[in-house]
Parts: sequence; structure tokens; C-alpha cells
Amino acid sequence: MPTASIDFTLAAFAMIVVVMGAIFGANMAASPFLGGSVHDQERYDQLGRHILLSRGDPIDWGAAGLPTSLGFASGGGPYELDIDKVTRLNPSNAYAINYTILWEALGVDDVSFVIAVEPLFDVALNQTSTQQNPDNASYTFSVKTTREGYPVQADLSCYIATRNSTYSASGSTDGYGLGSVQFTLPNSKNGTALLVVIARTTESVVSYGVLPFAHNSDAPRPSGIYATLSPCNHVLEIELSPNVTAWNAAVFSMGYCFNLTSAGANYAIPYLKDASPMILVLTGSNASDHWAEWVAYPQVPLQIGADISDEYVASDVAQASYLVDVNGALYRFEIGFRSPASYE
Amino acid sequence: MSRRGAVHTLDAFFAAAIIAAALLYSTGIPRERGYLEDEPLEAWGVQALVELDRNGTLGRLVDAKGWEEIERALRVVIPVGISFNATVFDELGSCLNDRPISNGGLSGRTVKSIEYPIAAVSGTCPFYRLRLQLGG
Repeated sequence: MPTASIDFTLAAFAMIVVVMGAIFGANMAASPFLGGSVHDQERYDQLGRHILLSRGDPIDWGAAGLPTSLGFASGGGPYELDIDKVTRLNPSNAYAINYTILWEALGVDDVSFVIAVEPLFDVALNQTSTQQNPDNASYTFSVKTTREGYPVQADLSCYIATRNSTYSASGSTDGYGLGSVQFTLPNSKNGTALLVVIARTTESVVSYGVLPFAHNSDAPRPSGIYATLSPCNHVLEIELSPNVTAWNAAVFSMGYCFNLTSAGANYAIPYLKDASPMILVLTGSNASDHWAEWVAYPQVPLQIGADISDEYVASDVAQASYLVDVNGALYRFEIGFRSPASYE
Repeated sequence: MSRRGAVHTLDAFFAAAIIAAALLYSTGIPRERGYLEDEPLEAWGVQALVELDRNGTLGRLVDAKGWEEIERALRVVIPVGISFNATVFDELGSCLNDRPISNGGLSGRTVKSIEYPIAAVSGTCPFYRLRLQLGG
């Protein structure tokens, strides 16, 4: 055999050994992350049900304190959640509970999670026209009710809050999810006004939208500039910015609209029989502006928890979605779980 | 075998090995999945009906023949992508709804059916059955 043939054969053999070894080594290194059984859904489903069906410990941790065991149930029917336990998940609430405490309260070391709570459909508001008159101004707003792009037909309760006055109207959206509402406001009530629209398809399927707009004033400033509102335990806690005065607080729901009673520096939130989210509005003034701030109670939509949107290749990731009842209104409660992949 | 033939054989062998390895890895990579893929449709249906009926709402709607309202509610509470068709029967098994309660017809790889009892609060306390078929 010529020397060249021997060289070639040895070189080919060496290449085969090296490539096969590399494939085998890569496979050995990656197999724990790629193989095995993933998506232990039954386990995640049990965790989700446990969180939603138990009250946690202490059972009234929504009103005050911190949970040592995680559970959002109110003690009523199944999947009926406590309004304050849900509200305290919202990071913008002064009494919000951070994810570390929630994770410790869940007590499952190898599972991280993210929770999102939202109304069942969306209410989009737009100011479509303004007619300025000598004594007043007429505004027309469009209302669009949709769910993931699909139209939703709904009945509407519409309110406007400006300074210490409130105005109400009713309406509906059609089969295309479209509707409109008109208000006439006296020019003397100039300042930032809030349009609050609460939409209902059936008794418990309710959603809302809020639109700040300028009524004979400068454009509304971003939310939270003048005051921070934190509802908890049926008290609206108010943190005012410097040189700002609060005038009036009001609550709006599907069937009710009235001013709140002051409880010291804060306001008491009533227990309404209405199956509806409550929109709490605070109006006031500073040196130059008449402003309006608002918050929903329960304070949804919200999202809190770990980021499970990436690094999922080496993890079990699963989403669970539930219908839950908070104060008679239905919301979608979604939980995403992530844990190291289980292997067989 | 000529030298050229041997080289081609090795080429083919390596190509086959690389393709096989790529296929092996790609089939092993887990993907993020929602529960919707594996969640029984019955669970969605039962949860939707139980939540809608929490205060006897379904009984009132059936008693008032509010088929359109029932359809509107189901369209919102049942996840997008699941088709449904509901039928309401009285105690004798007669169909009561005179119009379809559906989001456009039943379709999907899997079709499940659940039956949900409804009692209406009224003088005669009538009893109904709502059959909800779900496709997804």
C-alpha cells in the first residue's frame, strides 16, 4: 500500500473519531437540558388551584400584614378572590407585596411564577369631537369594547368627574363593539376631567376604561403627578404631592356614583352590592391646575412575578388561566410557572 | 475503491451524521406551551358556566329566554380559539332556544360536550339542562 493511502486512511479515521466524539460529547453535555419529561402540568395545575382556592395564612392577610402561606380566596365560593389580596399584587399600590414575599409564601423552592389579572375584555375610549359654546363645551367620545380584537357588545355606564362635580350618562356598544357618548360641561368647571366608562355584557362580565381630557385647560399631565391613590381594606389612602390640595373623592361603578366620605386624610370606600369594579377618582388643585387622579378597586390590570419569557429552553414553563370572581365581577387570572426541567 | 470514491463516501457519511445530530437535537428542545393545548375543553366549559351562574344568572337568563345574552357572555368567558354551541333543554328534554347560541359553528380537532343543570328562581322552580359543546 502506498504511503499516501495509509496517511489518508489514518487521517479519515482520525476525523471520524473526532467528529463522532464531538457529537457524543455535545450530546452528553446538552442532554440534561434537552431531554427528559417537561411541562409537569398536573403539578402546576395543582399549584394554581391551591393558590386560588385557599385563603392563605393569615386568612385576612389582604387587609393587613404579610402572608406566610399564599392563597387569594375570600372564603366565599370557589374561585372567589379577596379584593384586597388581589389589589396588593399591584406594584403601584402603597401596600403592594413584593414577589420575594409571595414566592416564600408559596413555599415551593423550585418553582418561580408570574401572575397577571385583567378584566375579561377591553374598553378603549377616544375623544372624537369638541364643540365650544359661550357657556359650555360639548364633547363626544367613542367607545370600543373588544376582546383580543373581537368585538364585544356591552351596556355602558358613563361618568365624568371634574373639580367637585360628576355627570353621568348611559349607552351601549353595538355588535361591532362600537358606541359613543356625549357630555356637555359648563365652562366654569374647567380643568382636567376624567371620562369613566364601565361596560357590562352580562351581570358579572364587566370591564372599564378611563380617559383624562382637558376641559378648557392645558393637556392633562401624566397620572400620579399630583397624588398617588392606594385602595386597601376599603380605605382610599392618598399621598399628595407638595403644594397640592384635594377637593373631592368619588366612586363610580356600573350602577352607582357618589362622593366618598372623608376619614381623616383618607377616604372610606363603601361595600357595594354592585357586581362591578369601582373607579375611585380624586380631584383637586394646585397653584395653576385643576387636576384629577384615579385608581380602580380592585387595582387591576396588574402583573407581578418572575420573568419567564426567556431562558425557557432549559426550564419547564407553563401557563394556566382561570376565571375568578372579585366582588361579583369576573376577571381572568393567569399564572405562569417555571422550574428546572425534570428529567427521566 | 478509488481515492475519490472514498472521499465521497466519507462526505456522505459526515453529512448524514450532521443531519441526524441536528434532527436529534431539534426534536428534544422543549417549547413553551400554554395549558390550552392540553387543558380538557370540559374544564373550560364547566368553569365558564359555574362562574356565569354564580348568582343564578344563567337561570334568570334562560327563564327570560335571553339566548343572545347567554351567547354574549360565553363569547367573552370562553377563550378565543375555542368554538362553542349551546343548547338549552327543559325537564322533558325539549329544546328551548329558538336561535343558535354559538360563536359561528362548532369546529376543531377535538369536540367535547358537557351538561350543566340550571335551576331558575321562580314560583314553579323550573329545571333546565344546558348542553355546551366545545371544539378546539
